[in-house]
Amino acid sequence: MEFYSGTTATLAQQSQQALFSYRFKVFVEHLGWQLDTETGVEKDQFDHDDTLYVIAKNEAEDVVGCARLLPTTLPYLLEEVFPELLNGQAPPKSDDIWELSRFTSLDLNDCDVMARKQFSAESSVALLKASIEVAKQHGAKKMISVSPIGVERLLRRAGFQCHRAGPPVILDGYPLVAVWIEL
Amino acid sequence: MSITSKPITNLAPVSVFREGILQILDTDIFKLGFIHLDSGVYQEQISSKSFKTNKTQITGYTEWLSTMTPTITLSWDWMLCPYSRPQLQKTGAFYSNLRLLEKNGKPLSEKHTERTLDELINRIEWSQKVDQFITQKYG
Repeated sequence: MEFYSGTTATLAQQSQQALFSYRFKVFVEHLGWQLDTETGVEKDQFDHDDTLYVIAKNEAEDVVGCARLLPTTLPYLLEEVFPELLNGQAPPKSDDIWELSRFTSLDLNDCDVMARKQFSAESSVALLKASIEVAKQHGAKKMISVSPIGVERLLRRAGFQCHRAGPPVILDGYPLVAVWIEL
Repeated sequence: MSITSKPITNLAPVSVFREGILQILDTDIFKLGFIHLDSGVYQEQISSKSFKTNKTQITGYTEWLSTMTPTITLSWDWMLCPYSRPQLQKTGAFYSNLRLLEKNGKPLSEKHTERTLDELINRIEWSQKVDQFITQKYG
């Protein structure tokens, strides 16, 4: 697995197209998330010129994982869409706090892993570490993530210190939680 | 599903530490009511090479909330052990926004926190309640 990172200005056009197509297949088709997005492409208001992406590709150059990174000084998912996950606390706004979202390491070609929803353990940890490293390179000292609880469990398994910002909400039948990540 | 029927007295306030972490005295945690929010099943395939069969181990998660605000969230994973009583056994650590304090204001150690919360969830008979919920949820 190889990792690539960049914004829409620096990532190859082909990689960007593959990324948003992969996100559609994972989040909309496979996980059934109810997202307002055009068919075949998963993008929202937080995908823009300043958004940082981490893309994982296999030897055949297929996208097998991705993550989205945003500094909290710009509008971000937790702040704009899920502020209730902060349990009454103000959304963080700082150059050194970044948000991790749209995280998955689902290999769409692996039938066995397909049964396990969003993650395969080893590649998830690798992608998580790569994503956090990219965020650190851009000045992150802490991160926050709106994620299904699987990401929370993954963070702990990968050895990161993390804690919840507040209680989860149940979305489409699954708990969604905001998690602080110590870097 | 609150377990608290008596009025709560002599309860030190829950204070916010940083980044949403809520602090409370370890003795006061037992005075709070907790309600079940949700539980679900993960599924993992494990292969047993010696028996040349695949066994499915049933594991899952459970989510609980304090009945007081600001809300304490407490979550953990569990495993189905068909030959144990209760059948659902907690696995791994807790996931929470909680920090327990000793009377002198110092935070409890990780080990002590784990033991205290284990005692708390056993008092609320989580295993039986989650078992019932899961049985209904998945038929």
